[in-house]
Amino acid sequence: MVAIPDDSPDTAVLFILLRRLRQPLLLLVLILTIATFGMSQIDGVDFDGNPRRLTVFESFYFMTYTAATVGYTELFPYTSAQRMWVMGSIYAGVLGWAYALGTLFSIIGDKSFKDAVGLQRFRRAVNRMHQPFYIVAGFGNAGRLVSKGLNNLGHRFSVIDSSAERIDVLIADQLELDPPGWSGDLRTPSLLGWAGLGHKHCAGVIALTDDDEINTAILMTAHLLRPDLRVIARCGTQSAEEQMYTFGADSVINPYERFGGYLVLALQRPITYQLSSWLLAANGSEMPPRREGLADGLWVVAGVGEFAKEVTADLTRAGLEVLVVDPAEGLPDVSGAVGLVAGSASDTLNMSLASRA
Amino acid sequence: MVPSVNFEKVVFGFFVLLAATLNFGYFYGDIRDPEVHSVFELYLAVVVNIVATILKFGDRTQMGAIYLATSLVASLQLIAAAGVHVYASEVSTMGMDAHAISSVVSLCGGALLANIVSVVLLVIETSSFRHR
Repeated sequence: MVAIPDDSPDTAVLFILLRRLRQPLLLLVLILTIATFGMSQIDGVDFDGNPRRLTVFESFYFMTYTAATVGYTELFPYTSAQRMWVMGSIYAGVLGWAYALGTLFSIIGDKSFKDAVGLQRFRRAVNRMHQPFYIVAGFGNAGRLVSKGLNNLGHRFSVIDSSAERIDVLIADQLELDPPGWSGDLRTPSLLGWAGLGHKHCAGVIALTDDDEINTAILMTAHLLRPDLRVIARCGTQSAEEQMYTFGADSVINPYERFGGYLVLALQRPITYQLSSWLLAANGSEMPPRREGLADGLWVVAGVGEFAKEVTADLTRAGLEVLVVDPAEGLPDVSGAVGLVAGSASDTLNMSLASRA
Repeated sequence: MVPSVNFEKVVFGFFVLLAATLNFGYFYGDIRDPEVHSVFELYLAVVVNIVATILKFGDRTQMGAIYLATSLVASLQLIAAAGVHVYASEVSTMGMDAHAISSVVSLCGGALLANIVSVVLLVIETSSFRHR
């Protein structure tokens, strides 16, 4: 079997950032060392006025709270020589602390640091999966619906998408199973690797982006690296569908074709359609109502493009009379028609077409 | 032609050796006699070991990771030794007796072992370096 790519260039960032901590920490150590050592070497007096130097421990204790700007009080009444030394130590020590803390906070706030930490968390969450899970690639509307469905059925899954905003949507959805999500270039195999392609419990990959090329790339990667996995892909065109089957997809879903198929089924065999949509619906759903008498008459398909083409082909194949109109060329005449498919690319236009029918 | 030297490695080598020498200097002498173990040497050994640890922050190499581990062990041992020293001299009613100083010195002995490992690693790394 081919090794699953698991390179993580992002963790290099952690080391580079840690490196940036060296200088401020060394400076702080140096300042405190000199301040403490000097403090322990300067002659002082105790409460009774007897000569007494501070021990190393007392000096360090004093310098710790003084340089950190806490500043309780003097351990003994200090001599002028000690006070001069303390003053210099405060100027140096406070600067040293400010430099060290400032660097630390800038590292924590660094975007590449946050990304690296987030990726580590994602990979850890994926590695912790202890039951079969799916990889959902693409978290658009389709991916979101599938994720909700998987969640409701109790199936575990991880989510990857090309945009970080969509992964934020996943987090905001607050699904019960708390699926891990990460964004990156979906064409790179390592992203699939992080999402759990090499995991022994990985049960399948579902490619649901709206880009046929990316879906094909995902399924190729999954099929080549883990031929034993189930791969389900979404596609928009007939040619992409054939290509995907050649590359080893277990099932390819063309939503446009599915819609046409179900439409024809609903027209010609209303009872079969009623039964199948009831079987496909979620557990506990009511039986959907039956609609009959839609098969006799003219059907109008308003729209151009892949979707209108598929639906028209399906309806024609079913022996129906179909009129195709381009909604851009004005309002279609729907008087006398029994049905209208509003299939333009714009949802607003579709809504206005449907409301006028 | 003289090959150029990585300045970072020079600094690190310096601190690793200094950590080991200071550590040895404090460790050397009768284990029950506080007179022969200078507290300032212990103090400097702690500081130099911490510096050597910080110098290995963010080193991704295998060697760097082992250096970090050995330095960390040495630092922790020395900090423990310093803690015992402070407890004996400032808190305990017994003062710095033979038992206390021998605890401190034996903790330093453990740190010395870790520091020796660091020095051995340094020698191995240097001798395995090939001039191109």
